[in-house]
Formats: sequence, C-alpha cells, structure tokens
Amino acid sequence: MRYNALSKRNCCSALAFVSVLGTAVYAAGPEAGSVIGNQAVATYTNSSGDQITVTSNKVETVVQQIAGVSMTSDNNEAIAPGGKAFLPHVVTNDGNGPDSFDLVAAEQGTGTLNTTLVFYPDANLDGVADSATPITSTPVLAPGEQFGFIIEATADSTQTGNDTIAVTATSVLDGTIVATNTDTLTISTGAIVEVVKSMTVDASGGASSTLVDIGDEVTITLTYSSTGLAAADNYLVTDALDGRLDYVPGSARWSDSGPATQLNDNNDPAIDPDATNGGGKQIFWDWDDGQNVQFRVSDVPSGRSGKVTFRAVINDTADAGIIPNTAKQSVDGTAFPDSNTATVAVDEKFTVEIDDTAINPDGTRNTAVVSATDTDNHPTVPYNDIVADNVDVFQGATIPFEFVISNTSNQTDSYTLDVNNVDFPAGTTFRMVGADGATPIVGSVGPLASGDSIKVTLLATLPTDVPPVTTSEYTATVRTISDSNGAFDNSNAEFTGQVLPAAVDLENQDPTAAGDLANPRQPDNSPWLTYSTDPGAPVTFPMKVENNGPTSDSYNLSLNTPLPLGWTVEFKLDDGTLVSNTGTISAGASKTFNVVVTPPEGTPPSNHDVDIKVASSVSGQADRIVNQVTINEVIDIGIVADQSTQAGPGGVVDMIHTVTNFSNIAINEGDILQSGLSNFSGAIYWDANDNGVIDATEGVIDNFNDLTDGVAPGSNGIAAGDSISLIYRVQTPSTATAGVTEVATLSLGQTLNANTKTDTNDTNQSVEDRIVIVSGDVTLQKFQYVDATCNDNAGTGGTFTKVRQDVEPGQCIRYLIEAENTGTANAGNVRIRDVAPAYTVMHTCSGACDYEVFPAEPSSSVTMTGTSIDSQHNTVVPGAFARIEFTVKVNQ
Amino acid sequence: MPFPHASHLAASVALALVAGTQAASADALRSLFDYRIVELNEDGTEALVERKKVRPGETIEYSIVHSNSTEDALTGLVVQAPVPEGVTITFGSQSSSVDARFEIQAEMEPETPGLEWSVLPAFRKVIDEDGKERLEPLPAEAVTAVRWSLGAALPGGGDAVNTYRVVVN
Repeated sequence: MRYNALSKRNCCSALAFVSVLGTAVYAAGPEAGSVIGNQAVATYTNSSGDQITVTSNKVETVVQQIAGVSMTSDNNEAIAPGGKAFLPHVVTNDGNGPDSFDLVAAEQGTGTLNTTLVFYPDANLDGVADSATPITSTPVLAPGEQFGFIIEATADSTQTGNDTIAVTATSVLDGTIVATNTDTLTISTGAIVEVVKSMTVDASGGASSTLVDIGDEVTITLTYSSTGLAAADNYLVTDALDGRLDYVPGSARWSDSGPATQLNDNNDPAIDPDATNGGGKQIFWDWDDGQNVQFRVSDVPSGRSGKVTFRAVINDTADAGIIPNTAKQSVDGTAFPDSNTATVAVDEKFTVEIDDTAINPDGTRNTAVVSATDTDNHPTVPYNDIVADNVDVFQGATIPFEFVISNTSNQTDSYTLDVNNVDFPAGTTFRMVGADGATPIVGSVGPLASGDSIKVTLLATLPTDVPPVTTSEYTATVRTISDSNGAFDNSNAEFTGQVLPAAVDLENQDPTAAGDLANPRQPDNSPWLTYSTDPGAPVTFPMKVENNGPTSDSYNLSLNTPLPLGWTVEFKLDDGTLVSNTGTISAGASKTFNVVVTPPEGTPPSNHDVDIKVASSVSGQADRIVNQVTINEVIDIGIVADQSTQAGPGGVVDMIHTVTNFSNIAINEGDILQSGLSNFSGAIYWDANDNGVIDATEGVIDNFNDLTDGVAPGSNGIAAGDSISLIYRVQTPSTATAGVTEVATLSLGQTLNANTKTDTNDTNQSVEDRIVIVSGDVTLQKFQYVDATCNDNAGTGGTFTKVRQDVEPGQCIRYLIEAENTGTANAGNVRIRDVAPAYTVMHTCSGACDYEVFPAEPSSSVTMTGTSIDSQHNTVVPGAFARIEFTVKVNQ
Repeated sequence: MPFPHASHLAASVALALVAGTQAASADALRSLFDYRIVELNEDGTEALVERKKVRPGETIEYSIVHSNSTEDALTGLVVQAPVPEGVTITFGSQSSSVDARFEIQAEMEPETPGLEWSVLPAFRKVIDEDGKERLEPLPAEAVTAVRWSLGAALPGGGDAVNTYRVVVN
C-alpha cells in the first residue's frame, strides 16, 4: 500500500500542509539541529576619503528540539448494539524534530455506553486500518509529518446510551505536550452508514513519469457501508473536490452496475437514475461542471456496501504537497460523519536555477528579471547563463556580478551558495551578498516560494598588486544548491575588462620639463631637466607625485640607478624633513618633494643622470624621471704661505711653499713667477719628492709645464686636487748689510693651460717672502778664481779674488769662503754653507780639486753633495778663521 | 543534521580597497559579532546567557562591536546585519552606543520588487484582491536586515556597540 504520508520536508512546506487541514497556523520555524548563522558588515570612510568595507566574524546558534503535537478531529458517530464504529484521527508532529506519540483512548463515563477501544494504524489515511495489529503509539514522525490511526470501538448487543471518549496523543520527547480529541459514540438502532474515501494516483502522466506531478490522474473511490440495524434510505454522498483536482467527465462508475456503465454527469439527479442494481436500488450521480460531485442511492439495506469510483486530474495549480479530500454523507437528509480525509501527495520536485535571468518552473526564461550587472548586450546577445562584466577596473577593485536564483521546483526551498575560482588572478577574494549589494549572505538564501526568484551578488576583489592587463578573461563559477535535496545549478561570472594600474605619475615641478610621459626620458632619450653645480655643491630637483589611482596610496622614494661613490642623495619634504616615503596621498591628489644631490669635491666636469623613482609597495605601480646634473668646471690654483726669514750676508735661505690645484681639471701650463728682488737673487724649485730639501734632480721652475709627469707619466703639470711643494731659495750678497730687507713675490698666473682657462679665484695667487739681512760677529767673504782645465790649473791653483771672472762652459771655478770671527766672543757652531751657482755643479776633478777645509778635518766636518757644500767648524775663537774651498764645474 | 555545507566564503575580512601607510586598514576597524540567549529569572528580570543552543520561541540578542584601532576618527560608519532565516526581529529591541539612524530592510512596495530600507515605524503597501491599495504596518516577519548609520564619527580608539533581538520561530 502506498505510503502517502510525507517523508522529511523542510520547515516551510509545513505551512501549506497544516493550514489546509485546518489546524493552528504554525510559523515557519527552523528544524531541530539547524544552524542560525549571522554576520555583520560595516562601511566607513577613512581619513583619506576612501570607503572601506569590513565584515565581522560569523556566529552560529544551533536550534534545539521542542515537541509539538496536534490532532484531528472530534468524531461524533452512531454505533449499533453488537456492532462496531471506527473513529479516525490524524496526529501531526508540530515540533521541530523527530518525535513519536503515545495514544490513549479513555471513556469519560459521561454516559452509560461502554465499548472496547483498540487503536489500529491508518498511515495511508484511507480510512481503513493498515493492519490487524493494534498499536499504542505512533511511529517516529519527522517534523510536520502526520500519522493516521483508527480507533475501533466495539459495543456489545446490550449497550445503550452514549459516552464521550477522550483521545490523547502525548509526545514521548516531552510528556507535557499533549493533543486531545473528544469522540462521542451514541447507540443507535437506526441506519448507520460509513463512507471511506481513498485516492490513488497514477504517476505515469504529467511531465514526469515517475513523480506525482501536474497532469497525473487520481482515482477516487468512495466506499460506503450500511452498518446500522435499519436500511439507509436516500443515502447521499457529496464530495467537494480540492481546487487542485479537475473531475474527468464521464469517469464515474458504480460497483453495483459494473465498469461498463458510465454514470451520467449531466442528467437531472433529482429524477433521472443512472443505474439500477440487482436489488432494484438506484443510483443518481451528478457533477456540477465544477468541483462538486455527488451520488444518491435510493436505499442501502443493513449490512450492504458498495462503492463509487471516479477520476480527477491534478491541475497546474498544484504545488508539491498534500491534496486532501473529504466526502460528506447523509441519510434522508440527516448528516452522518464525514469520510476520512484521503490524500494525494504531489511529489516534491526540487530544482533550482542560477542564471543571468530568472527561469520559470517550466524552464523558459523570465526576462523581466535580469542581472543588473551583466554587461553583455542583451537581448541582442542571447542570454547565456553568464554574468559578464567588461568595465575596466583598477588593481584592488571589487567587481560585482549579480545573479538571479529561481526556484523552479514546485515547493518552497532555500539554497546555499558555493563559489569556485576558475581563473581569476591568485589572491582574488570572493564574497556573496544579498540583493542590496551589501548584506552578507550567511548560510542559506531564502526561503523562496515555488516560481519566485531572488537576486544575489558575487563580489570578486582583485589583489591590490595584481599585474595590470589590457585584456582579461577571468571566470568564477557560482553554484546554488537546494537545502532540501542537494539539487544544484551553476552559472559563471566572467570579467573581460582591463585591469588598470593604480597609476602614479612622477613629474618635475618645472612645467617646461615636467616629464609627464610614460618614458622616464624625453623622446630623444635625453634627460628631462639638467641642473649645473660645482663639485661639492648640492643641487635640488623639485618633484611632484600624483596619485592617479582609485584609492589613497603612499610611495617609496629611491634612485633607480645609484649615483657613483661619494655622491649623496637626500629626499626631503618642502619643510626640509628627510623622508624615504611620500606619506599617504589621497586618490587624485598630489604631493611635492625635493631630491637633493651633492657631488663630491673634485668631481671633474661631467654629466650624471639622476634616475628618480617612486613606487607603491601596495599596488606595485611605479614611475621614474631621469634628470641630469652637470658638474661645472672649476679653475682655481693657489699658493701659500707668506714667509719671513733672516739671512746673513752672502747667505742662502730656503722658503717652502705649497701650491694646490683646487680645480677639477689638471693645470698643465701657467706661470710660476718670482719678482721683487733687486740685489738678492731667488729661484723657485719644485720639491718633487716633498722632502723639504732641494735635491740634485730638482730644478728651477717657472711654469706648471715644468712639473714633469706631475699629472701622470708623460703629462706635466699639477693634477686636479693635487698639491705640490715649492722651495724658494734666495741668496743674499755678501756685501749686504744688516737690516737690508727685500721682499719677493711668488705668483701664479691667472690665465692657464695655454690661455684656455682663467683662474676665477684671485685671492690666492701669490705670496710674499720677506728676507732680512742680519749680521753676526762673523763676517763672511767669498773669493774665486777660474780653473779653466778643471784640474786646479794643473795643480798650480790660482789667485783668489772677489772680482768678477769670466768663465766658459766646461771650465771650473774654485771658490774660497772665509768666515772670520771679528767679535770678542767665541762664535759657536760656525757653519758655512753654499750651493753651486746656477748652471754649475760641484766638482772634485777626480780628486785634483777636492775641497779643502780649515781647520782641517776632523776638527771641521764637511758634507759635499753634487750641488752644495756644508762645513761645520764648531767654535771659532775671536780673531780666528774658518775656511772652505771647493770647485764647481760650469755646465757644458 | 540537515544543514548542508556552508557556502565557500573567502577567509575572514574581505577588504575592497587599498591600505595606506598608516596601520593597515585591514585592521583599522575591527568587527566583532556575538550573541546571548535572553532568559527570564524567577523574579522576572532578564539574564543574558551564553550558550550555543536555542529553542524555538526563545530570544537571541545579537551584539556587534566595532573598534577603531587607528588614531583618526572614522566617519560615515554604517553597520549592517541580516535577520537570518528561522528568526524574526523584535521591533524596539535595537540599541546603539553611538547616536545612529536605525533602519530595517524589507519588501515594502509590491509593484517594484526589491528590498528597501525604512526607519521605524515601517509600513508596506498591500494590494488587495480587488486591486485596492492600502498601507499596513510592516510585520516583523518581513524584515530581512537591519542597519545603523552612525551620526557621529567613531573617534580613534573608540568602540561602537549595536544590538538587536530576534525570536526563534
């Protein structure tokens, strides 16, 4: 026997079912164990003017089970003495979880009637007990599920009167939950009739050949029996068919007249019998062309029964659920209890569609409800189950896709949503929100009535540093799944727009060379802006950063290519603060900053690119500008320092000076001159080895081009930044008297490098040397004679004289220097020094004209070099002499 | 238990926009959702009990706390939460620690389908079978979401607490 009662249904169909049976309306509540989830979303504006969305954590509450029961209905029946009566009831589990119910029937003793009462199951609600096995409780019923039972009351033949019977169904889960009906039985010796209604359905019709659905045919059988002591006269049964059933004309048949005899729908039921049975009893059938059918049997003798069958079709107003029906009966106008409520269950057909439009339950599109974000040019482009978006977005943007979910089933349902990323860039996040585009969807969407649709939006958020692309095809799949049976459908979200970079633009503040183009250099590849500076002097480039992205951002400052060693670069805000990052810049706004570049001292004239870069660590976007620093040529040579010294008559003094090339190029030509002496004589020497002494190899100079290899091997002069040591040697005449002073000026030329350069700094071009003659009590005289053959005149010597002598190159001169202590005190540490005059060198004639010293060694000691002689005579007493003789050879 | 698998939501915070150099805006506003079950003591006073299970007919009080963890005020804060399936909002049960405009969301205009927002008391248009239009008070069962639009900025380091109650159907 087909089990019509519902299998597990979701909460909301209970509404349709229970209300039809007339019990109290049950608010659509969640089943036990279901989870109520919740999640909040907030939006706000941050200090940069961006709108930010934040979602909270999710919370969940589990719904516990509570018990609930209702039962129909009160019966009022007649029972014949010695006969039986059947009292049908239906128990419904109104709780939100599975439960079973204990059944008790107890006579209340309000009257004299005593019957025995036994419960039998009637799960299929056809008014006939399913089995002969009595029950004392229902089986476990799912929430909303019903169970029918029949109480069989038996009265023995001596019974009289009536009584009420309290029928209770008590929840096993919660014994305080009870439903009660009151049945009344009255002994009757008259006619007692009972009519039982059954409905069976042939599922092979309709759209589905296996499910009970619209278009299937229902066979309705009304079985009547006369169980009283008297015959039932003018027995009338009426049946008002549920609006979801359409009577099939001409389908009525009577058991007593056989399947071939069609009961006439259209004749007058008051006077035209449609059939007569073997006992002469007649049946009058009628259909009112609407929902009402009826039959009247002229009389049904006691103990007799019969049945009338007819057919009806489930029409298209039927959703999934129970179609109930009850028939009424009367004898001679006196009503007797209604039949049981027979039911037909239209099967649940859970299907769902998610698409770019709503879908009707019959599968056709409902283009009145369409996705609001779909950028496909519908309807020129056919609707295609894809929600497309071709609007360009920036990195980090949120792209909305609105879908329409349609409940194409015949029953209310709820749906969960599942998102699968097919090929959106890694790091894209997805959220589902409701039709308002903001409220998060937590748990299920719905409930949605059959045929209704609802809109949901998928929000896909790209990562902030997603690589920009000019064309894209990113796809994600959204699946909607029926909560009731897992039926599902998919639809696709497709993005085909550009992903624009959250652009940033770096510019020079100078509008004539702003550098607005994408290329960091000008079209001819030259730098945008060139500033000149001296070595060691900072140069400042005023820059501007524009945030052309959709949201606030900040940018790190750096040089894309480092400057050479020794250069410094600083990034500063307009107030001078050193920074390495611009700080937050609102979308569309800009900020200025300065790049300060300082070349090191001595950098030669040259050009250097300054490749400035700003980069966002969030979006990865960057921009560069290449400017240029040109190092100026700096020309400045200087000499230090003024000196003041004393010399004895016929003496020699060396004064040391430093010449520095402050230029950033080498100076290879320029005057190094001395002037100002009249009786004294001076010469400038280059102390190449910097030992403070004029060595034999060190000669007189008067120009920078005399500084041999001074810049580099093969290149004379003084290198950039270099310093050299000069020794200015002045000789005083032996006739000079104490106090005589001469001042020499050493000066460096201002036009240099063969007149190609000019020294811009004339404050350090010259120094003054002041020589003052002092006398001691020691006089110094110098004599000479010519030794033409450089052998001390073949050993004959010569006559010393102070007179000027002529000498020829290659010849020699013998000098005598005599120091006399004309004072009255000892002169200590007497020392005679002399140098070979210019164009001569010391000479010993291979020993023939070696030096002679008085007093002889070792009292005195002599040091002779190729260019000088130095004799130390220690103490010379008053009146005594110290002498040194030596020979020089004139250069050839 | 019949609850099917949850929808695939991306992990926690789904931020739309870019962080600045101040404290990452992923943490600038923290949003914490919590709830208590409302029970009545013997003397009739209310107790807010922490438990995960609830029975039909009981009242859940939801509370949402937003904490501004930056130093700047956040303006234009709008807090929105759904009234989930299986529960019905209790009108008048809402609260906000910061002055705010409170609105509910429901279908209120049958001729233009779509959820709309309204302050309380809310009304919806009903078209009778004979085509006549009338306004009726919006029943609580029709409310699908609630929101608060804060009137003042949320100061740096400050909190906003919003609560509302629902009854389990």
